[in-house]
Amino acid sequence: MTRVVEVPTSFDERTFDTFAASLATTANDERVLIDAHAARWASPYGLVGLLTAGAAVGQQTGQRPLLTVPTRDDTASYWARTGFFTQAAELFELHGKVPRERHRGESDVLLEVTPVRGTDDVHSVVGRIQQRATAIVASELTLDPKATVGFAMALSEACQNIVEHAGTGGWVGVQAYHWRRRLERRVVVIAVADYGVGFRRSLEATQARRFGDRWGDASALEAALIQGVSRFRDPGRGQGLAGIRRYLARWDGKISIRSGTARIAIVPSWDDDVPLAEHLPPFPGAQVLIIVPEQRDPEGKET
Amino acid sequence: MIEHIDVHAVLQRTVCHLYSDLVTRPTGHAVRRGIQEAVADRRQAGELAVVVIDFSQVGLVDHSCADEIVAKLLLDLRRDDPVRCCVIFRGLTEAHLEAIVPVLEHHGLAILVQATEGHLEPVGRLSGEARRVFDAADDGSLELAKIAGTTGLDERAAARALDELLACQLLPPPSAKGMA
Repeated sequence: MTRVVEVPTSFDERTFDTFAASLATTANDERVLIDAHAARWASPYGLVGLLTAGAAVGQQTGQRPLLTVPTRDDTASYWARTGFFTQAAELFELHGKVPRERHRGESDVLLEVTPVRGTDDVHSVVGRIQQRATAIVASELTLDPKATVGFAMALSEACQNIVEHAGTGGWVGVQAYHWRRRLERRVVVIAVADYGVGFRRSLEATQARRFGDRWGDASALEAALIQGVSRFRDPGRGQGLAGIRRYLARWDGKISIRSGTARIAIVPSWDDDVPLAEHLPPFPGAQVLIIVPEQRDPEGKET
Repeated sequence: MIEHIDVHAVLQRTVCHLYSDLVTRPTGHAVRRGIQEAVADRRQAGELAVVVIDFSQVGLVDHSCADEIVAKLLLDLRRDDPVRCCVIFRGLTEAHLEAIVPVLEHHGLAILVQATEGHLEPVGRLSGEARRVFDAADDGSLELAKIAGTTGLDERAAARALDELLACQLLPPPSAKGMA
């Protein structure tokens, strides 16, 4: 029997839980069809989430899930431009017309969807983003050029979370786009996802006792993001997420991390997300979203 | 004797000859081991008074590498080095310091940084009194009454600040003065 899991027409962090809820009902002996034929748009967060789902279903069922390609040409072309299909071809049996990936000189895709499996991949990602980020951060976001360094650092730390804590691989994508909801500005978005053990299992050995009955996905995320704890007993650990938080506080950015059945966020004034969401549909691994907005002075002019 | 260590060269020798960014903890660990081996080799060859760790050719430094290459290196040297040679960091940009300073604060450490103009300055967790005494002792004079007079601290406070600088190995020997 084949279980159909629909991809929301607009697939981003807002609609992610609908997708996760549908995916969570699949059984081990079912063939899974992830149906994206009606999708019109997907954020980098949605795209790396889809890859995570593909990898997790493959592991769970022992067979590659099916994925229908969006029927809209502009959607499929965009997904191709992000490098999504290159990664998806390894995880899914693709159905539908996959456009050829064409690289444009000027593109909103700052970093194609890229696998992260080891430290070499992190070096490669950081090297590539620095070349493009300097232009985009300074010109599009009108940030101080020094912010580029912090941006690359945040990207590095987010990717290292996969290597050090997930126990498996994952993907990262970076893109600039116009954020219509409330903000009405350009933003640069880093999306990182893995299909590993998740924050709760990663921190369980060192933190569960401290939290007692409260221990769960939400308290694990709180420990990692707010308290800066790490699964390693080394006192120098846990500074990566703290560094990302400092960077985002300086540039009015947002971070949210979803793992298991919970999601935690540092929410800037321009966003209406909740700081902590619990009892969400379970989803494998961890998904990190970092958003840096264009800078404007209080009168709305670019700084 | 002064040992000059080019961190970029250590990175390319110990990790990958194509890299110029100090990112990821394994990279930081390998580079720290490379630096420690260089220090140990030099120490076997003779007395080592000053180690200059040069970041001039390094691109990005992230928090993991700042922790491994700066904080852990200092902590290891303090633990393992009975002679306590003076460590000076050179070629650090504002961007490097964005990663390094929070790590130093986290560990309660301070380092000596050689600014582009050549003079040395302490960076990291250090009391205001110790910073004043550091500036006052710039000519190499450690005479307590003179330092107290220059800084406006009483002698007991000046002595405490001096102890803090000595404990952090932040008073460079005269041989380090001419490096600029």
